[in-house]
Amino acid sequence: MRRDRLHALAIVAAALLTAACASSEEWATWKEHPSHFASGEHLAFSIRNRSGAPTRVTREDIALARSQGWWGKPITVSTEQILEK
Amino acid sequence: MRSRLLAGAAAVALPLLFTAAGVISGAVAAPADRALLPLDQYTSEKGRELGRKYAEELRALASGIYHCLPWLEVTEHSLGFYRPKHLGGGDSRYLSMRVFIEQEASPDFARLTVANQAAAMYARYVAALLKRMARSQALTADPGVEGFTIILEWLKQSVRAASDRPIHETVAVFVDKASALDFLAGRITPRALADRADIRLWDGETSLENLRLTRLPEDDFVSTYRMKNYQLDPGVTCP
Repeated sequence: MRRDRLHALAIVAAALLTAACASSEEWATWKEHPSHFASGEHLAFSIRNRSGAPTRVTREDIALARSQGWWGKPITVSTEQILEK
Repeated sequence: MRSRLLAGAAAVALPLLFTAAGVISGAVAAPADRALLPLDQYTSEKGRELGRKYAEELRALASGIYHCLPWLEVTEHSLGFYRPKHLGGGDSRYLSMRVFIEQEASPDFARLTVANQAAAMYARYVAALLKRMARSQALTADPGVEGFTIILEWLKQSVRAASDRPIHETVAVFVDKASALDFLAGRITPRALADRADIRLWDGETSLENLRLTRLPEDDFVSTYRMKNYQLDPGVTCP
């Protein structure tokens, strides 16, 4: 009985340690490559591909590319759940 | 004669158009206007009055983000003096803004937990946006403005069928005015600001527990990143 409890405790401890390590790894990767996400570069890329040769991209081009890339109403929390007018 | 008149009018009007609007040309007023909460939608006179009084500041804020941080999209009607729901009674008005962050799919980012993704987004955007929101001294000194709300959302990276609706992850950050001003004046650290802020998190429509930022990576992306081949509209300058 006591051995079973110790066994269960060991499993829980191992799981917690694994989760902590994974989290540290995630953060190490994130810190090394912070610019791998969050840019509009792909929007500019799609505009360039559409028009052929590399061109200057204006804000209007980006707005257009974004509207064309929009694919349906997203599932997200509504502003009304967070704020009142 | 007519063409000379038109040329003359353009010579006078165009510089006026560009300089009168400061950093923003008249041709792009519409996106800024779309961002603002219309005055007739405020539910209290206090909110409406703030919206009316600082309309130009809000337009300048929306236009600045539109041009200078083009990978961000201020959600329609999200910019205004809203009342945070969790504050309960009273009519505490916070300058609020909801922003969608356009980003490339990234395995590194996808591997982070939702909480760590939110922490990364917080580190990247909250201070930068707060500085922009508090740029007007008149606005920050107004006793009717009691704080700031910044809502960030981004597309959840997950495997899904083409027919599936996209899911957004959302973090809402509420900062009372005293804390915001302390931070902006350098009296408290980004870490202390994060500790004082009320940070809430959603996965799609599902509310997750409030976020306590255990790690706050330094991130100067907003001030250093330049989108390749991006050309500012004529007359627009970005600090």
